[in-house]
Amino acid sequence: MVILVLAGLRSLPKSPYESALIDGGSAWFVYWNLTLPMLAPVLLIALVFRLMTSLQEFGIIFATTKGGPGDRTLSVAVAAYNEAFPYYNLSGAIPMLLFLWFIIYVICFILIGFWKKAQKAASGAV
Amino acid sequence: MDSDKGILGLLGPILRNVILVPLCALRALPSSGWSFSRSSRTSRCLRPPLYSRPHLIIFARCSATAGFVRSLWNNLVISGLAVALSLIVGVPAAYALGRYQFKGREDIAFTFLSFRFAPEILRHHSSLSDLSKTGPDR
Repeated sequence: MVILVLAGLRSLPKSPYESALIDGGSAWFVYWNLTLPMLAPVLLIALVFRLMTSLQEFGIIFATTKGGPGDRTLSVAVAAYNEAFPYYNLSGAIPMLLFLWFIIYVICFILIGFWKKAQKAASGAV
Repeated sequence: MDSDKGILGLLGPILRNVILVPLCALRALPSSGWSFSRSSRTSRCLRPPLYSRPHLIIFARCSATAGFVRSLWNNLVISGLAVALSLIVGVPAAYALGRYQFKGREDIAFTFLSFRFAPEILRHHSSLSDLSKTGPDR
């Protein structure tokens, strides 16, 4: 997240900031009206990537708690692993992962829609 | 109008639509198709003949399983919190690193990046050590 946003911040054009400085815009005004709208597409892309990786998280949960105690930290990926390998119930595991895929698809589809709007706004088309 | 674009401008869409898109589809379809076909079979026919009757009831059974619903809820809550936390911490950190000049700025940025170099199991090990002492089952 930090790396993506940092790269986005460094790629922002300087001229709007110079104009705001000449017009006497405050730091808050510059942040709220220039930086955030221009950075919104980068933020949304970072959000999409972060959300995708965290929804598919398996390694940390499996290595630490294995979904326990009980099912308090059970994620879909770990539940699917438990179905697929210890019980060899692949036909129970794959639908779970396909559901997860569908959910991630829908969330990312919505976020990409916002990203397109934000990109248009950042380029001044709206 | 098209003549202004040159030969690359004309060939680009053809290359993309005729070669790249079918290549991507060919790469993606077998694995997705395999997953879809296996997901509608019971475990007894995991290696079915070329055609076997799909059992779509498996999807309904899976979605009604208490473990699945619970794990999906956990997943959404944990990932939502993780994303919110990374936004709250990451955006101001990146803003400070990108906008303010201070000593060691580049070193801090590199330190952020350096956590990505470490093998993931290293981070898991420290989490496991912590959880074994103060974990959710204690």
